Amino acid sequence: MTDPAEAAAGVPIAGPAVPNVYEAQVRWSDADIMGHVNHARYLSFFEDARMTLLATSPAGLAGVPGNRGYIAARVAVDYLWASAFRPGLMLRVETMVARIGTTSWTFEQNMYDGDHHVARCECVMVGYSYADEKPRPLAADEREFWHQYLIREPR
Amino acid sequence: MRYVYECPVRWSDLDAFGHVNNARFLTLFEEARVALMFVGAKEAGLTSFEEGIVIYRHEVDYLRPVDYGPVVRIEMWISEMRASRFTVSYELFDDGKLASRAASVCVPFDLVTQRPRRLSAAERAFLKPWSE
Repeated sequence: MTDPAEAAAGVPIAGPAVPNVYEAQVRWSDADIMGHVNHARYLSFFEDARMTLLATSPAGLAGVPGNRGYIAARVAVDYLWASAFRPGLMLRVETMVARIGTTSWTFEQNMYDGDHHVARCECVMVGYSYADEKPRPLAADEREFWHQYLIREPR
Repeated sequence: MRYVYECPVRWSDLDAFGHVNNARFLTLFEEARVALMFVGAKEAGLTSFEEGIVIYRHEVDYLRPVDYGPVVRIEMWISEMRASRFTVSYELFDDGKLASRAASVCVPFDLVTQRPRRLSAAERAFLKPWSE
């Protein structure tokens, strides 16, 4: 079955997408009184993984001259395991793309503490024109870029 | 001898000016301290700092704004050692340029009795190579 977004992007379906991997450094101040990495900080780790990847995308890094503009329209996090803080802890964030639409795309992110699956995040991003104050269609090079990370389920 | 720590900057460290917020500098300096006094000390068999240490004083000079980038470089050394406190000094570099100078006075602290304590001989020996 052909994904309409893939057809629109004109990109052929290739092998399985490889996630983008980001290592998040956990700070002393991220621990809560229970000794766990505080749940609210997970959003920052997912964000840093996204921003690092976005900086390498055709849309560019937010705030940098020439960037095309985008906003986060939704973030949903499922907490699967409590990561115990210890100094020097790094959490691995794997980022893929679940969907590419006309003006938006959806990140599917998973975070791991070693072999433990700590959390899952869904983030809907919308291409956004700050000049027009409204969503903008994604350009072909952006579609092509995100397509590399698109999850392709065996059908 | 200086201890060098490369500290990742987070997107959420930036404020509306697009700079690392001044208050977050303390968090970046804290990460450098944790790397030496908790992670590094543990590798050397010393866990007493991890069991309790508090801040008595911070001072920070801001020399230039720090932009978003992968890491900043923090150079750190022990500038003073007293019976029950010591001072950690730092210089923070962004793209090789000195952006901040800071110092923290640290006090070993017994969390059970809630009282400061003196530095042990092992702690002094651990800190000595980093003294300038």
